[in-house]
Amino acid sequence: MDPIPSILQFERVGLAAGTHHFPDLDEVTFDAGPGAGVMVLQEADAEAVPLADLAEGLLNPDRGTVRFRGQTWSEGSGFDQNARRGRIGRVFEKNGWISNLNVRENLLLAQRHHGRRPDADIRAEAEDRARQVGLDGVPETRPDVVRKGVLRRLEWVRAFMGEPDLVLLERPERDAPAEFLGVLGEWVSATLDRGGAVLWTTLDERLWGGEGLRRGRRYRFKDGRLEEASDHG
Amino acid sequence: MNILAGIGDRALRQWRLVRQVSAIISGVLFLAFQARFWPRTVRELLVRQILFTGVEALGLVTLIAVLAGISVVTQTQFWLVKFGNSGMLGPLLVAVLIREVGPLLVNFVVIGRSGTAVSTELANMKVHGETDVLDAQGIDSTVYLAMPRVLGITVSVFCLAVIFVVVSCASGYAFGFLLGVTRGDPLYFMDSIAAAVSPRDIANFIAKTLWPGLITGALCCYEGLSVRGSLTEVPQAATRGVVRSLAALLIVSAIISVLTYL
Repeated sequence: MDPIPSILQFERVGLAAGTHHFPDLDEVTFDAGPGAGVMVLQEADAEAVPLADLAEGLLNPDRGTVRFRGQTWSEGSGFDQNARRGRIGRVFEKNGWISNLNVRENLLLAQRHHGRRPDADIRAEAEDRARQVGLDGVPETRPDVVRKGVLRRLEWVRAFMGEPDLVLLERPERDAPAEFLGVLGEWVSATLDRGGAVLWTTLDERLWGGEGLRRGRRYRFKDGRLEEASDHG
Repeated sequence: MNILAGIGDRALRQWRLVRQVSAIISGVLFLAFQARFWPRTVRELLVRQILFTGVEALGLVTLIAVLAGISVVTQTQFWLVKFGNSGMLGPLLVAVLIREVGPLLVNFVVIGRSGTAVSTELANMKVHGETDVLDAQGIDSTVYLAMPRVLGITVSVFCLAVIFVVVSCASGYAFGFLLGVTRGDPLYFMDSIAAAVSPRDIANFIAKTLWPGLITGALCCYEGLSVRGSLTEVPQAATRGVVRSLAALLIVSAIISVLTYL
């Protein structure tokens, strides 16, 4: 029987000093297989570690290999690579919105672009998830007039829509009301339960220490290297 | 030597620009004929672009067409009738309106309205990292941003130019009739124009609408997506897109005229 392919694999990934404006990375190795969560605590006074960009093949490592579903990002045509990225949901560290689309169009864009799922289904899922995180629905205004706390929760909604294989969470707790972090945790658990993987980067030690990812591996990022803490779950 | 080096450097930069714009046009046309690159999101953008570039410019183009018709057609009719040479009406109108003035003026309008808008919009997206957000969601910039804009502008230029020619001829005839300049009946006027249109004129008209449309769309997308990260580059990109599109329009129009009629 063929082994189940890992969903996200970092093999001795490194970013050299001076070639990017990111912090150095050295020998970053982890394997997020089906049902596996990975939570990384970043250094509070350092630049954000571009693990999500590396995971999606938007940034090429100077050393080592990144694989998504067993394939490196140099394999396959541009069309195939983009189709694979369509199976990844993400909450962005910085700006995650297209300003000339309203919030609803932003939320539905990737789902409508990559598949033939009916619009009504996609809208219904977006509305349902929005209500789960305490919103009245999905606004149809431009992102720049929506409050940060609302936008952040809507990014969560977008990241989990369509049951992606991999969810990349870059400080999803930032700007979001703490009372809804439990819902985020439930969505993460549901993703892991159906065989997906989650990579969560955070600066919040309390979240990292146990309140965020209920099961999975925890790592601390220090001096360009990942140090593993004890397993969860 | 510095002057020579400067000229050479400038020539090389222009050549690189020509290659890049050609690559965008080739890429867009290659992608456009494959169904998998037309998901509903891209189809909707094409419709939006045609609405903005074509439909919303209809009023302005119609106004310019009416004024052009009054000037060109009325003057032409007046002098030809005066010299007893009204049989030349059709060929003269075809030479002026269909071969030159129509496509040129429509392209000017589209470059001014849509060229600046496309360059500015894409440059802003680039500066604010929104193209990275698209990349992260597996949405290719060429397919989602460039293709519908380039094709939408091209289709709109062609359609607007057709409307321009029809409206300018109609307005010129009507104005001439009001002034008493027009002597023939409307069917005679239409027949004289139709008889003067040759296959070369049609080819010339199509080339002078489609090629500048493609080049304007590609140039403005290229300028917008070339900005690196500073907001000050946004208006510069818009200006470059417009100026280069105007220059390309005049050059391409001249080349097409020479190739068609010489």
